[in-house]
Amino acid sequence: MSAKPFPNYLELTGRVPPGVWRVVRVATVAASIGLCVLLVVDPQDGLRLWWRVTVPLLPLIWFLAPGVWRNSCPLSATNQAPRILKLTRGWTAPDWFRAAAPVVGMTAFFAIVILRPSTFDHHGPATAALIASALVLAFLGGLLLKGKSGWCSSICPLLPVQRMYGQTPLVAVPNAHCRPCVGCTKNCYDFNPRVAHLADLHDEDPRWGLNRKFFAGAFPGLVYGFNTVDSTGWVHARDMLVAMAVGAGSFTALEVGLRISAPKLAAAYAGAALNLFYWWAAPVLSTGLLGSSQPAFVWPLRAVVLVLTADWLRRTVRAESDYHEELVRNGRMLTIRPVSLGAEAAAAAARTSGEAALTFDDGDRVEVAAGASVLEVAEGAGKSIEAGCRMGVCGADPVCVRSGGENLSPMGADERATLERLGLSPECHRLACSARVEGPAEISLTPDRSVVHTPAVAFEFDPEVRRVVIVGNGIAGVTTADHLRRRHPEVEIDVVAAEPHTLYNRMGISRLIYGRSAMIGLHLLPDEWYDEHRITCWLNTRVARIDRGARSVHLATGEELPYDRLVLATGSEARRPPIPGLDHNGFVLRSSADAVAIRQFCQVNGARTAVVAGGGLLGVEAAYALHKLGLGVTILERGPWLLGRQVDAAAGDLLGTYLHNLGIEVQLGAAVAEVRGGERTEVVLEDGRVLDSDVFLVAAGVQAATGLAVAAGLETDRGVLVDDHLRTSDPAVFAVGDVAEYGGEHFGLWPAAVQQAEICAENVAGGDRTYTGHTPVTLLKVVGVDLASAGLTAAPTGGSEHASLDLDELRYKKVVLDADGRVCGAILLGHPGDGPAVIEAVRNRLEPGSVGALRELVPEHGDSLEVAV
Amino acid sequence: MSDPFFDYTAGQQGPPDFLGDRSEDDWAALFEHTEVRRFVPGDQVIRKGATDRSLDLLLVGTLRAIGGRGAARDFVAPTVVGEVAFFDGGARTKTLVAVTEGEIRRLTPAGFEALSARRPDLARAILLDLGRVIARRLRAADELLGEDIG
Repeated sequence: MSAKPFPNYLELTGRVPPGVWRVVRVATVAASIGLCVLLVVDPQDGLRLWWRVTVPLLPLIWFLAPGVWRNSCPLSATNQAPRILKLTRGWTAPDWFRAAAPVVGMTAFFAIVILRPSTFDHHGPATAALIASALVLAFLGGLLLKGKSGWCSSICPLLPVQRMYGQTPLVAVPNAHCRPCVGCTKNCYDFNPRVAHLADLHDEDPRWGLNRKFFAGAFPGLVYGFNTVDSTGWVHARDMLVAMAVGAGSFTALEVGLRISAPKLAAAYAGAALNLFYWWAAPVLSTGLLGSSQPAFVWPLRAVVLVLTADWLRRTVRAESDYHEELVRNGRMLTIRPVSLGAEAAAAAARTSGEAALTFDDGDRVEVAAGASVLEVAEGAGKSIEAGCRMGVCGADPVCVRSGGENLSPMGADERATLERLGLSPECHRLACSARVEGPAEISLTPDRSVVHTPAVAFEFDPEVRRVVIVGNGIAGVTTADHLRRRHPEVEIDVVAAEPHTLYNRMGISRLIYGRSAMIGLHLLPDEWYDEHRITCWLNTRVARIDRGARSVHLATGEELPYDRLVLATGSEARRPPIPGLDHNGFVLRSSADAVAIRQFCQVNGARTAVVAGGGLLGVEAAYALHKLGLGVTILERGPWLLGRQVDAAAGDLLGTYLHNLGIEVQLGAAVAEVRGGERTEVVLEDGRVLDSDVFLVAAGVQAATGLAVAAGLETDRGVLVDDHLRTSDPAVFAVGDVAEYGGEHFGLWPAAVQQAEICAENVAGGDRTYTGHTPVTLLKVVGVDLASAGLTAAPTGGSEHASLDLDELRYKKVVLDADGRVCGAILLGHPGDGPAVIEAVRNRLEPGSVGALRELVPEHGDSLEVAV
Repeated sequence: MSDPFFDYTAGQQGPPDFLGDRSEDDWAALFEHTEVRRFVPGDQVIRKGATDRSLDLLLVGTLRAIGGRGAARDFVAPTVVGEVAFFDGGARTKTLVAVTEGEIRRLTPAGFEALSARRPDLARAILLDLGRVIARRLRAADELLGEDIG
């Protein structure tokens, strides 16, 4: 049962099955008809049964359990019969009927009582006609009007009595008629019996309250007059009306004069009327049941009624107080109907339930499909977590594993190395992008930095190497410094950085455009990391020149750093194509300063639109960042599809569709010829079209920052040329990361930079490790895209391609096999869980059958989009 | 009439308000962009003041809203929670505490954006249905206040 003070009948649980009530109703209707017959054929018994048994009992039933009567009343049964038989017109009662019905019903009640002595009490057929008329009128009411508005809740003469005494029943029996409720009646008693009378008395329409107050006031007078007035004819009627008027008048006098609330007065008058009634009805009832007025029956009945009345008054007064509290609490507020869902939702939910649960330190418990990374889960849950390379090398997303570490995927070498660089113990930390959930686990997004984990590396370093200068503070430079320190505890290390920041997540700089937290969260190392590792860091300091002969680095601030070994990790710069007007009217996005400048510009100038020239990885990410800032963005791509270097046409087209659906426009085969400034930026295309924009950004790729190397006379091409030990043309100078070119390849990827840096550091320290190149892996995380590309995108000679394409769901999976049938390339779009396994397959040249994610793509015999070259 | 004691629509079984004409496959596509959160009695499923702008689909169980204005109110599955915050990103006005065990599917803004890119028809239906629900409430408020606020 509901704990609400005034639950409606839908919120109550009935103990009697609906079928039982139906049987009871049939019985009461049959009994009523039988009674009418009895009143005609045997008036004496009929009148005794009706006026001396049934009528005296009814008020007690309405007082104790009115719901029993409302569910079994023969009049309500006939009123509802048309609805059950689907005969009802179901009209809505007109306003005049709604207003008049209570008055008509009350008047009819008074008239029947007044006429009882002269017309009904001693005349069986008249009483039968009265009962029969009521049955017919009730039926007609149900035939015409919807719900119970045609009789039971409107014009029934018995309703005013039931509403008054039934407001705080001893036993609550919910309405068993109205399923469903059609909302036919204002302040419906059957809907919410405990509050209906109070609602009438407090209704903003004063007529509702006046009806109830008048009835309550007149009722004791009616009862008293009926039982004491000895006159006949119209005098009897007059005297009855006088008695009623005295009652009603006293009610009004008390309400106005003593300011007693109408509900309290109504309850008091009702209590008085009930006890008056049973004072005289008890002997009548005794006579009707037992044949004579038995004191042993009469007095106990009077006493019981008195006691019940006292309890009823207590409950009724309290109900008024509860009602006012509810009114204040709800303030007659809007009732908000809950939003309903269909059955399909539950069925679909069963299909998509998660298989593992990840609990965060804020208590959120998220169920996930097995194989999802902690990062994917955290991002999906809206947690504040950084993301970088998503391959476990940048260290942007370390998390602390509180429990369930055995339910996360095994840790790889890259991840372990990154955690060690961060000084975090791999025993209780993971990188969120690398840890895949396979069972329940508990994660804290805040790593535990209370204990610095510094792994030792047993290494025989070259003592002749006493000073190493590293130019560049990106991932390549920092990783070199880190691994050099681990192997050579005594060497002096200087790291020179042109930017004013310590190592930060360069892959996250697009967040600086649309996010509100600036550099907070982007730094990948604590400030004290350099001191802890005894590394001298020169931030915001440029190298003026390198003197290879003297083996010294000259800083633009005047200092000179001698070296035994020099490592160039100067990274790459945004490539600025020779487009007229670009220098003064366009942005690039390569550093945090670029991103900050773009966001500032947009704010200062109220930018609403942006054009991004370049549909490569950086261009798409920049476009998405501007989109997140709220700008309308257009990507201009010179080639036939986006990410032309990383994916094939099918994936590129799907990506274009996806971005279009996000609201980012993509124009292919569009090359910029000129950029003009002015109030707005005009982007002139080679085909003559002109696009107006508030912001113009060019993302034409990167180029190695080889300026220092060139000036120092080192051999360069697209980058600084290095051998398999990452040495340049000068044996004392090494190059790693984006600035290095190995075997004709310029990788420009963080994982490659990290790998190179570790090997370089060992060689700088006196080791002899070789570098063999890197399988390029591209990950693009525009919301929901989940694009991964590794290795070749097209089949080599003798190889083959196998792909599956889902245009409806925008998913694509392609595997490229070499001539030996081994995986040498893959493209995944919309398959987030398959990335790690597929990338590993590409790196290790596995057979496709050994990789679950590729098995269905390359069946032994099957229909895939196979293309043999 | 909108009245806390006489809400005659409480028991009506009309067509579902939210994606009522969508297939099970459509719902599955929606759920792929949501997170599953299970709760036990006493869990704070939604916190007052949170501005996460998520739309929660309560599929199993009952949540009770505490704090804020008005009486405590129960959300009984299956239903939607947070449809206003989903649009305006305002702070949640009440904390929702689990009364029973249950399950919620949470559609974050990022999830909705991904869904809208992949299934723009479904995303459009979500917006229209939620808009219809809110419009219905605005009309009821209009009637209650006797002012034209629509």
